[in-house]
Amino acid sequence: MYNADKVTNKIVKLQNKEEGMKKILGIILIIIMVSSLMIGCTKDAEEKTTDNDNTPVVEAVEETTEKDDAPKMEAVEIRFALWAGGKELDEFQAIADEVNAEANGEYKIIVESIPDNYIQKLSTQFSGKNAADLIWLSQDNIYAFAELGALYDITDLNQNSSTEILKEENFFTNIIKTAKYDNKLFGIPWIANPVIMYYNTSLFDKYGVDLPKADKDGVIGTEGEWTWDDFIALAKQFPNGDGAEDYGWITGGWPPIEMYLWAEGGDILDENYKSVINTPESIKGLELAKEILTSGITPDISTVWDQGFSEMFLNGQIAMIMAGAADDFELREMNNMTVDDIAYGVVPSGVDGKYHSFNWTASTVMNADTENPEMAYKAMEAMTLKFFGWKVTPPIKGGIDLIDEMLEGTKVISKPTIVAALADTRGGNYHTAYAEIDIWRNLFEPLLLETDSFDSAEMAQKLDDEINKILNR
Amino acid sequence: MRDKWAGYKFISPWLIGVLLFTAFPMIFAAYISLTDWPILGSSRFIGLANFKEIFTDKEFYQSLMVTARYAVLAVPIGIISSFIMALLMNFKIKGVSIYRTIYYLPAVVSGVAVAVIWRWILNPNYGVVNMMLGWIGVQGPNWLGDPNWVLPSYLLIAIWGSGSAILTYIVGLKDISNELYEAATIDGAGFFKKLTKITIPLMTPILYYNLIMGIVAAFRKFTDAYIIGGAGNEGRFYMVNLYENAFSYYRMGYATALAWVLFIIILSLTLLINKSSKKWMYGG
Repeated sequence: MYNADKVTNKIVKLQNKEEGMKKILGIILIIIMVSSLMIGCTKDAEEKTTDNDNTPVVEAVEETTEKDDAPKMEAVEIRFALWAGGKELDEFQAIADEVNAEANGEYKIIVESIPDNYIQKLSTQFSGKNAADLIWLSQDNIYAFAELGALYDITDLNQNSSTEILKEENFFTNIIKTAKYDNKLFGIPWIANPVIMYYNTSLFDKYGVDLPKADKDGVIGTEGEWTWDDFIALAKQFPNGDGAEDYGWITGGWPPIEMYLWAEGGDILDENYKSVINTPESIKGLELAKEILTSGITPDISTVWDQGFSEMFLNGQIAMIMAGAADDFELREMNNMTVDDIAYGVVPSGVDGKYHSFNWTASTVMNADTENPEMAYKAMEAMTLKFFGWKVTPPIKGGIDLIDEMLEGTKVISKPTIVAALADTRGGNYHTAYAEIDIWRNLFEPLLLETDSFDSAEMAQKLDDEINKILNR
Repeated sequence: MRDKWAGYKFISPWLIGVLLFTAFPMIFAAYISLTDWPILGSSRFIGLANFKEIFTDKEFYQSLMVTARYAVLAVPIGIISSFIMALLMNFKIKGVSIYRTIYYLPAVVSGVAVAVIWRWILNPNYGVVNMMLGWIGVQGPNWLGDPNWVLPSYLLIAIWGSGSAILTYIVGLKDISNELYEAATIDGAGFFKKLTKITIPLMTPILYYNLIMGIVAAFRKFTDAYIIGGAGNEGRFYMVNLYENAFSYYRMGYATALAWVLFIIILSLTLLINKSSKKWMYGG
């Protein structure tokens, strides 16, 4: 016999159990839903960053010229990753085709263009053991890639090579330094792009301002004589100020803040990668940057960001601009000025009488996992030699003579300036943590946006603490 | 004889998909979060050190604050504005389908394109917004260049992009039986009475859905934030910080730990809303 209460209790228990199950199921469903959405979120992030997963992989189409009687050998495929796109990629492809034709079937360079999110895609490729054999890497990334074991140590290959021009000692010291880690060579630099001063002489004429004195080679701003104070005084002679049409100078965050620090003998990290931002010299450098920004010689920062740093110069509104020697203002469309109005000079000298021009440089590096390092190095050398006849400026001593025919028109006048700038040019001391220190976000942007209230000593102390925290982690 | 595995066989494509593309990556991510993995080199097991570091990392709190502040404002503003737009577009007016298409368009545009367009729209000197403000004698702010105006800029973008939510509200509104409104009209109910006593209560399941989706979307904001940025740290959303740690700072282990913390935050909020929905959601 069933007891009615017992039955009811059982039903209630079952119902409770069902409720409990429902709750558990509900929670599981929510977890799955949220996790799916989260994965969707990663996908979204990747959508942005891997829009170019189908990045053009342009294969060298030119067949290598094998002699009929040569033994049939399959050319070693050397994948070459670079950030170039458009016209630059076409030019690169032409160089690769030339090198392939001259390789006598030993190797064949396969060009892989990654025009955006370069470092992110490279990192992912390295992580998946699928990175190219040869890779373009800018100076600020080489230390990190080498330290993390992604790059092949080419010291011996370089020293044993018969290509004298590519030996370490033929490069400018500050430039080859960027391709080294722990005293070992990890890349061959192929470009130097020191910051120089471009002048719009028509504005100097318009306001009756004299250009700084040129040295015997015609380089405007003689080393050791023309200082940052002279520069500020000169720039102040132009209208400047709110609503002015013409300005003495322009910055929108370029040149990098390191240049002001170097001018006063300071830096972010020293050569041993210790923080030196809080030294009196670095603080003086920050004060120099602040003085320039508050002197009114540059349009306000939002105007520069909106109208464009180079564009304002090309529009004839700016008397002086510090930009890379390879920035081809001469080839771009201009308003209110002509190509003949451009003159060239070096940046002002620092307290030690030297220019301390910032240099952007990049190297070709080799993947640590490349299957045939000797062949890859051969290809690297062949390509680098071609780059020297392609890019302003080859980073080797006397390299500018290799591109004489490229310096057409007014750019010819810039040659002595580039030579002078190259002597003192340098990059930062790029540690793996440099990106995380984020000089732009933690130092330069606050200075640009809140110039008046910017306290150099306080900011230096704050950044010093942050850098030490990162370096000691 | 009936095959007792038949049901599992039918759902196996989904099951395999979930196991391969959700469960496995999650388990692997859980492992990565316990390592020091610079992405380029090999990983090293460090236990809970990444999680410990997260709670002493000011960048974490700063980016979480930026994101939470955005979520707190963008989600309700987005829900209210898209609901009002849906109500308006539910009226039988001429050419309403054109309006619906126009308002839905932002939902199908790529995030990158949206970001680029908005950078231009918000340009203080030649942007459309400041130009229109200029017509009425107002000098527009430096939207993305002034830290105080970065959040309002992102709210504008969020409202503009609420097209997909409008669509779900319209579908919900169409689903409400006309008889209910007719009965209410006979009983003397006006527009607001009908709105508050019929429309909104019956729309709560859709509101619930959009609330959860809105919160998830707000916390995982990345594409436009990464491209548009914003002065100071005001445009540095949680996902941007996570991405930078993974791919710029070579700290994939730490970034994955950040992803797990974000997962817990979103899961907690979702459970909280789910629990509270019994009190305010029709049929909840």
